[in-house]
Amino acid sequence: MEGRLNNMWRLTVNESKFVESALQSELRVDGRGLYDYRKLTIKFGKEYGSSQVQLGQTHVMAFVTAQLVQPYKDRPSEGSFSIFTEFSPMADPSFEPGHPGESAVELGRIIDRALRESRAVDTESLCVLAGKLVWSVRIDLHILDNGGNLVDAANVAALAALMTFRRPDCTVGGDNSQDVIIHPPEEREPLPLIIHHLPIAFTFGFFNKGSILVMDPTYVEEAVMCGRMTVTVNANGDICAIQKPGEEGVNQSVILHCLRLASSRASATTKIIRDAVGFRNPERFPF
Amino acid sequence: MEIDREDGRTPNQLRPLACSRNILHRPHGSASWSQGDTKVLAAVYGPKAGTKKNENAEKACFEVIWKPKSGQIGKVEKEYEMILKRTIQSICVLTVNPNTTTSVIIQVVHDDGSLLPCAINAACAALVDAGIPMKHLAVAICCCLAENGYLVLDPNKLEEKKMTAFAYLVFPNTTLSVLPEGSSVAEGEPVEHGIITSVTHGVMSVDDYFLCVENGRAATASLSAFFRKNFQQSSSNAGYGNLEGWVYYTFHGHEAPFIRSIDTNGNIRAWLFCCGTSKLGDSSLMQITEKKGTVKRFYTGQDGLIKFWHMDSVDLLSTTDAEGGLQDFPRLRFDKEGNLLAVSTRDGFKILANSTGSKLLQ
Repeated sequence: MEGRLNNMWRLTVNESKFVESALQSELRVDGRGLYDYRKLTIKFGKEYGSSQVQLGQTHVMAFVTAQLVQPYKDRPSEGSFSIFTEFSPMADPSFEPGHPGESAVELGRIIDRALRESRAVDTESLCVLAGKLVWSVRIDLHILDNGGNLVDAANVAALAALMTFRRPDCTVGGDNSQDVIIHPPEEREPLPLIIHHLPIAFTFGFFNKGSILVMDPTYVEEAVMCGRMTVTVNANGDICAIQKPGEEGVNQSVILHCLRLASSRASATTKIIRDAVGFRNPERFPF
Repeated sequence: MEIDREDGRTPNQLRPLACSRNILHRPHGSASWSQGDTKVLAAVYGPKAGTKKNENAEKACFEVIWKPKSGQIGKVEKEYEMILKRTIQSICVLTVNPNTTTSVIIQVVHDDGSLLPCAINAACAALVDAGIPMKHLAVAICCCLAENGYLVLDPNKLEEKKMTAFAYLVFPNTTLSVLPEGSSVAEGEPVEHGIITSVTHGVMSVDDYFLCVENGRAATASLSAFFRKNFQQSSSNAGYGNLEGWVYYTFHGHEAPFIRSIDTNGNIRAWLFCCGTSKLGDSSLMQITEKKGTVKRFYTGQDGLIKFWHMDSVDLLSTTDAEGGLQDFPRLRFDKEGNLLAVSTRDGFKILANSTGSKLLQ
């Protein structure tokens, strides 16, 4: 529908010039420093595994559900988890309903890689009957308001939801240990997932051919910037994933500077997430 | 014989309602509506140019997108979209913005029964927040029938599962301006009768259905009161900026428009001024403080002059007689930005303009 494209929000030349020239004097449009993050608030819904994260003007909701399925042939004793990203048309007038666009897929892949490859979520504990039944955890991310830097906000929402999620307890019984009984929450307390560490994503924006670096860009800055990079680190100092999808080439020293900035902030953000979860579930396992 | 509900409500009692508007920044209007644990988020993107292929280009068109909590969009969601679209079409004024599309996006946050009525109420609140022209609001409610024949309003998820039949009903929230002939004056304001939308599931007898409609309508009075209180409260705490639009109030017998004026120095002061002519005939300018809502100052003038005061002081700044011809009790009206002032004269009206305003007139 051409009508919809005509109504996309477009940045004016004045606005982009203003943003760029302000950055040359190390000023950002909303008054933050170059490496300052916006306020992060984490709220939880009534049921297990639902979180709502607000990073400045960006709003993301995450829901975690689990289901018993057959495992993959090559991993018979491991559970699985999958991430579904919904760029709701609520968030931005240019988001189309229907199948996700490339930025939605990219966001899902960044978060998926960080959780899966770094083994943050323990998948072996999700096995019920090896080769027959395992738990498949599904994370649904809904982007409600696009104020910029969706990756970081969605990442925190996914982590917060995973930490507060409980799956039903099930026992294996029967004659030949093949019957699985799923206990409803009224009978037996549901179990939390085992999470080894929290990989936190930090997004950087590059301006002026890579010489100016900015953390946590707003949607106005995202429309102006010439390159971006997302670094996922955890509080132990491990780099879980780096994503730099083409665009402007950047000097190596800048990349290392980004990594240093990200690792220095990781422990602070981890603490915010843990405090929010601990406030909600006081019996959460301490790590 | 009372039916026992699990959460201790009476059969006709609604769950606690909560509504907050303007919660998202990108959409033009947004609202979150919760009835008990059922929570729905609605966002509205205002009129965009163009309509879809099969739509009537002479009227405004609405597009509804329903996003479930998880999973794909299926037939159920498509049906909800269609019902919501038709309901919104009947309450909005379609002729004001022809050949435009307004998008309403619904996101289910939590479903604990009575989901569609909750979504309809949320969509109404979001449309109000976006400023889409509407004839009146719609209040939606769910009534269901238990096995033993009892009628229950606003069920939660467990109750819905046990019911034999239920009906979603949407009523208009409007008062009648003209009473139909022969009707007796009922207590309170006469409310328009009629059903905008009705969706039923399951089997129920005709009498039961009429009972549902009756009970539902009786309960919508409390919903309407909630809507009214919620919207009135927030309109007085609206953001600080330019002159807001026109809100008509009747205040102490003065029927006059309120001008909400804000100090342009950016000081956080928002006073409500009411200027106009009372029924007794004296013109006055009243200033009402935001918090207490009482009259702070009261200026009268009826000598054929237009008077100007500074917002902070009681003393007169200046007067002008607009080159004569002013009535004894002139009617005044500012334009939206405060650059033009129209005043009634004996033969018509005159327009005064400041420097910006005179550019507008040219």
